[in-house]
Amino acid sequence: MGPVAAVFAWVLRRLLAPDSPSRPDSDEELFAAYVGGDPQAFDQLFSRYASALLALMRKQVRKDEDARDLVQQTFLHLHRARHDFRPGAALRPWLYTIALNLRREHFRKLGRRREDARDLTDREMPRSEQPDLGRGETAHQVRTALGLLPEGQQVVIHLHWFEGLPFAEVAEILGLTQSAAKVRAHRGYKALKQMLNDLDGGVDGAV
Amino acid sequence: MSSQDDHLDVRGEYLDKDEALQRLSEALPDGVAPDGADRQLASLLSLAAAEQSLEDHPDDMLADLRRIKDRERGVGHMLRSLPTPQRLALAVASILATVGAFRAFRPRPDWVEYPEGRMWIAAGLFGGLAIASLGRSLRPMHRPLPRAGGLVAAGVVVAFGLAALPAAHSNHHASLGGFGPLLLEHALHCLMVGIAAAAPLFVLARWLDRGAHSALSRVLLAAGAAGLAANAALQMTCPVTAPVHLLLGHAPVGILLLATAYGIRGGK
Repeated sequence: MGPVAAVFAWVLRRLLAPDSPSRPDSDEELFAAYVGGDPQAFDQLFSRYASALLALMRKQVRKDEDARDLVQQTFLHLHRARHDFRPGAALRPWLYTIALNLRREHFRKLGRRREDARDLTDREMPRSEQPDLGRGETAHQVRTALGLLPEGQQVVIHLHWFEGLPFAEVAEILGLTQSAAKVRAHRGYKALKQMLNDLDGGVDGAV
Repeated sequence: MSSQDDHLDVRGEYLDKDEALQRLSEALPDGVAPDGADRQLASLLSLAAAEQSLEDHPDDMLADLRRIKDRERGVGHMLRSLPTPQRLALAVASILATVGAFRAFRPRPDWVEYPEGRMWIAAGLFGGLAIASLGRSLRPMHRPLPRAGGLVAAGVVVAFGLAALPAAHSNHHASLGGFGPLLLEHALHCLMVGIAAAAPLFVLARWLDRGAHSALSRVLLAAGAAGLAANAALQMTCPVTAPVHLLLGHAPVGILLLATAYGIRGGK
């Protein structure tokens, strides 16, 4: 390899190789950049998490505008609390904890633990005599069943399944031990299996 | 559930069926293998997740959020954005400064006659509960949500309980006031002084609170803290020791603040 190519290869390696154990665009690095004065870093974090948080809020909040407001409040709190974030901590559990606490506060104000999932839809739980359901309808029924779970199980399943978080992180967000989070998820999945037992053939019909 | 494993096509946008089953298996007890029902549930959950990923993305929310952030200016925003230890320190310092100012510039004339132990107990109870209430009121949102009931109730009990105790002494002429036709006048005077002392503390606590839609619990905790601090300040300055005066002119400061805070928040 000639000297020019060697230099080029060296430069390329430096550019591509991470300088630190974490990814160059990790959540924590983005947040640190935002705290340091880069507004676009905040926008990137918003783009990463807004949809997931909105889905989380919509699971139990009746009005879509309230769900969207809660997501905005989450990021607003993130902005206000930016100097509280400890170096070395993980941002995602922090963000989800803020979101879930805001949701709890929302329900405290409403005076109820959570809104009944039956209020979120006019449809009833599927019965075996119903015809094959489309994919969208099947998904809707699954989400309705999820909404009927106790809040603790619902949140754990949402974080574990839909967000793909490991149980260690789920436990950290919810202030549980890892085994308690797993037990809660197991009970939730088991309850879902029982509730969705009538959806025979619904999946095949949806393809 | 159906035993058919002809899984839906999740359009490659989410987990394949093995990954889906693997994820579900993480919740199973050790040594338990997934069965057909688990496979079916994994398929259904994958379907729900895939459909969820197709829903609208909140890009329009970012513009609104930017506007809200841009409006965050001024003293309140600066105070809210301080790290939590600094917010707490500022709130505590303001309480100590208020009480200290009364002690320094308007000390009660019967200071020598007043039993020292009782003074310290009262100051400690008022100050300790005020600081605890403030700390809970300013708890950041990434910590467990605060509950107000216990601390607010404790504050009311302490304020009225201490006021109802037998008079600390009757050894100074200034301490013998507050009876007869002057009862209401003196009590009202202390009430006004107490509210004047508490109001800035309450406003500061609200400025330091990051809650944009602040919960009633936080507002009540801030009001309770300000009321207790005002009682401590009155303890430093008012020489009247008659329980009836304290019950009418000192202890109700916190109650008035709590009622005002509750009324302003609409009880929500």
